[in-house]
Amino acid sequence: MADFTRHPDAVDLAEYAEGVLDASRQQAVEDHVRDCADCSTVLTDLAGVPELLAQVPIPPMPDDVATRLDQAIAAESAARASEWSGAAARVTPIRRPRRWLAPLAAAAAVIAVVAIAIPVVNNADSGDDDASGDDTSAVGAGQESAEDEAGSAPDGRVPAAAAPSEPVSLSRASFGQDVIDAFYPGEKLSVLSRNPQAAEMDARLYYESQLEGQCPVDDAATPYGEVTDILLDGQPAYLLLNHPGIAADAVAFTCDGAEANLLADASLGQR
Amino acid sequence: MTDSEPSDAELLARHVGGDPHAFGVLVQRHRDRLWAVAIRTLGDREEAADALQDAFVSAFRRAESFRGDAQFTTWMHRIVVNACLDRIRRRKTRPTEPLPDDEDRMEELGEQPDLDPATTVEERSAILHALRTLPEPQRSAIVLVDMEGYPVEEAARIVGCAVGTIKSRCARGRAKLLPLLRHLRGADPAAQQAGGPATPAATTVRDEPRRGGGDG
Repeated sequence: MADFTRHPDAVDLAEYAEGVLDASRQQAVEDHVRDCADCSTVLTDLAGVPELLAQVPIPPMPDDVATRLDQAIAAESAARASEWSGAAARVTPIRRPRRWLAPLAAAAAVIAVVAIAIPVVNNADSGDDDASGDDTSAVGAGQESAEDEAGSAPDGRVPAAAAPSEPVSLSRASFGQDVIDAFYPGEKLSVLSRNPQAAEMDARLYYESQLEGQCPVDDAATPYGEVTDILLDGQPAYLLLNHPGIAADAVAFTCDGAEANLLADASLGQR
Repeated sequence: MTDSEPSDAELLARHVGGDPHAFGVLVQRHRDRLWAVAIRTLGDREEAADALQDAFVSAFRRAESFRGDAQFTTWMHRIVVNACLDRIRRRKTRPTEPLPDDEDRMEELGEQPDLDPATTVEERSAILHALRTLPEPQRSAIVLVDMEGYPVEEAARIVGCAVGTIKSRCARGRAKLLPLLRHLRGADPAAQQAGGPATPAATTVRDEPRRGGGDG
């Protein structure tokens, strides 16, 4: 198999040039190329592709896009400032951050989501319905509540003080839909059949790459996404929800030391 | 960057500490490169702007989770690449909307007129067209490594996969691009004379194949 009586194709040659073929193929291509002028030419041409691509200048960001992004950041800054000051937030951010409700019972989750849906969030100690609904999660600390709201809890996880005794129960068989029901109630999300990136590469690799650095979960920071405790088919596990607020990858896993074991995965997108 | 300017890490720390302007300064510093990744990955101006906005807002809010052992630019690029992939994913859930790849839009990607004599507007347009034929993972790898010049190790960190995976994607991407771009490389008249644009022998003789740029 590693004997090229015919010419290796361009992919073989390109992979050979990158040194990513297995040893026997690498050797076989090398032997072939040594005596084959045509393949040597293709190799040369392949090397020219990155050279050509590198010549394309970096396009500057158009002014209108720059202005728009500046405005989005300014809105975020204003929202954060008013939340931090404890005043009622009168500026609605471009996209309201989702509150991470994992450990909350479903009923409490609904209350909190409703609170977020109200543009003017009164997160100060006003003692009204909103505040009492928040009691289970924010322990009445106005500052902490505001930080949580901004998606910037120190390690991206729900504070331990807010964790109730029972994590959310999910099932492997209906994993994606369970995640939507528990974490995105009332939102127009659906389970995507197959992650597009996974179509090209190994799906498992795609999800596993998201678990890089997540274990052990006790560490100070989570690299990406939000990690919460769950029960998967009755067994304790972690749930990683990646890039909240845009579309989400949901990955259930356990840790074996620094090694993550992937248990279930789903990609969620807007309908 | 001069010594008097605060470092990325410093600006990020200021942002986390509550400085309302620090984040804006930080992304302004890198935005052309981030824009380039988004526009080249998505091929659509509006979508690229949306993806960047998603990414900037996400980074703004997640700044505290940034771990100092990575470069800010790597972290930021990763968020941008993820935001782009999210866009692509959503686009695929709406099959009625075709992939934008019409000529006018592609011209837009070339942006400025011929400031750079190395490639013409037409060439750049052809290159970006060719890029769009690649599957996203290959396109991301090619954009980061071959177009933006990131070492493969850093591209792997940005995309969140193994170095070998990035190398392999670059290799497969280059193999697919080769027949689409070969004619552009006949930029020197001697080569064109020698046998037409599509003939391999017509291309300029070059040194050893380049090896990914990040092996050292």
